[in-house]
Amino acid sequence: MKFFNYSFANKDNEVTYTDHQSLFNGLKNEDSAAIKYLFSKVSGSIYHLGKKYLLPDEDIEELKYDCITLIIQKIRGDKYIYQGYDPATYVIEIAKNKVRMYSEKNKRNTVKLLDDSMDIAEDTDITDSSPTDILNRLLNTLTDNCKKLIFLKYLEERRDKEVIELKLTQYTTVDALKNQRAQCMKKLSEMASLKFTG
Amino acid sequence: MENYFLHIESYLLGELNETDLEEFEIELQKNGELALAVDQMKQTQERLSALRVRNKVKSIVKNQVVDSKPGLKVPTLIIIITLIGIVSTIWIMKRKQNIPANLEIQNVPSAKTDSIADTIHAELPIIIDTIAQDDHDVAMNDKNDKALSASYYVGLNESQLRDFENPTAQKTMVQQAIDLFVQKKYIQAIMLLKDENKYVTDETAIFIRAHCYYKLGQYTSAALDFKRLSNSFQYKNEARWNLLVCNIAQGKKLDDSSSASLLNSMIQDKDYPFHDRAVALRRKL
Repeated sequence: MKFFNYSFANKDNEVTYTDHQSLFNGLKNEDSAAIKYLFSKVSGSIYHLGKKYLLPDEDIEELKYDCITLIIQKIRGDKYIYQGYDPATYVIEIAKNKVRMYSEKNKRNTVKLLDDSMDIAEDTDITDSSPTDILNRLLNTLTDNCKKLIFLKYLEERRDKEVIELKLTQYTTVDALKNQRAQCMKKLSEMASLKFTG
Repeated sequence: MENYFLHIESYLLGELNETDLEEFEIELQKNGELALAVDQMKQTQERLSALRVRNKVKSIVKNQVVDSKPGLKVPTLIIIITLIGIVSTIWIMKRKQNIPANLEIQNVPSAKTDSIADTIHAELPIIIDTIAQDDHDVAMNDKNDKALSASYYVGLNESQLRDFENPTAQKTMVQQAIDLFVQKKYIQAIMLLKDENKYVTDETAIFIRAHCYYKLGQYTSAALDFKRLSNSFQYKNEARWNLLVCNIAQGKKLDDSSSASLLNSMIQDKDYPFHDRAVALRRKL
């Protein structure tokens, strides 16, 4: 069933990227079709890779999301420049590195369980140390108002003027909105800095 | 500009006007604390951007998966329902034509009819009905519960299967079922071991049947059989563990009192063979 569920290639409305450049451009613009296409291309390979390292299914799914997120971030930040290669190949390389790191971490942490592969896979969640997960947890420690302000700006990408016009918050001017959000972001940045740099 | 720290976000988003930008950058060069705060804020913005992209990727993929389901489920269900209908009709017709009335209510095969073919013939509709019901239950279960259950499931290992073998004697029904299990023909194996009257005291038969049910995703039936073996001298450890795993597959986690007490007893018993797994599972839940 998994195969059919994630198979997008045969759907009538499916966009097929015949060249790597158009897929690269699609990912840069965060096009849904490009993301779906890339997911369908790498899903099987990452699944087998995860199984090889005895990862549970749910961790493999998270790994797929992490890897695709990473390539989009790198493309958008000009850290991955198009050089004619298939972006899917790059994503699979990211997945390999992540799984290797996870495996090494487990070797160090659970030497006594080396003869029991199940326990190794379950002992550490591959997504435990994901920066996005940590940030998500930190966001949840902020006040509801702060969470809302940050969410509207950075996760929904709403313009400040739009937020005021639609009365999505308690603030009636853009300046008041910015001031409050700046304080919330300062708090979040300080917590994140402590968390990520120790 | 009074408080530079309140303008960091605007600076990074390129929202400062020319005068404020110039003033901010001059302050940035001489104020190390401000420079550090700018750096921290920049990283936070990048992480928030990553979180946004990840949520978007997840949402796109999940929507696609949901969209793709109806197109697959409907034909699959139609095929299953049609097959059940055909098999049931054939079974009813055969029963009416060939079997004397006094045998119709009997489920236990007689000595004459105790062949694999007759057993399969007699039990097929019941098995298929059970599977259809359990398939429905499985579909309703949370996917994560099943994945978690599968990752903790303790199957039959080669050594156990070798122990069951008896190459010198004529193979019993249980040994034939074991052969079918090895060949992954779980439905046929269940058919052979379905007769409650015959195998109610045969722990090996119940053990094999439980694993077959589990492999087919029929967690309710598997749990029932594993529960029967929870006091078995030979199989109690695996049976208790897999009973817990079946409960998880059915969504009965620690909020279910029986699962919680079962898991706690395993954790408390340091000599229990699956103690480490129980601890790991507790953490996971």
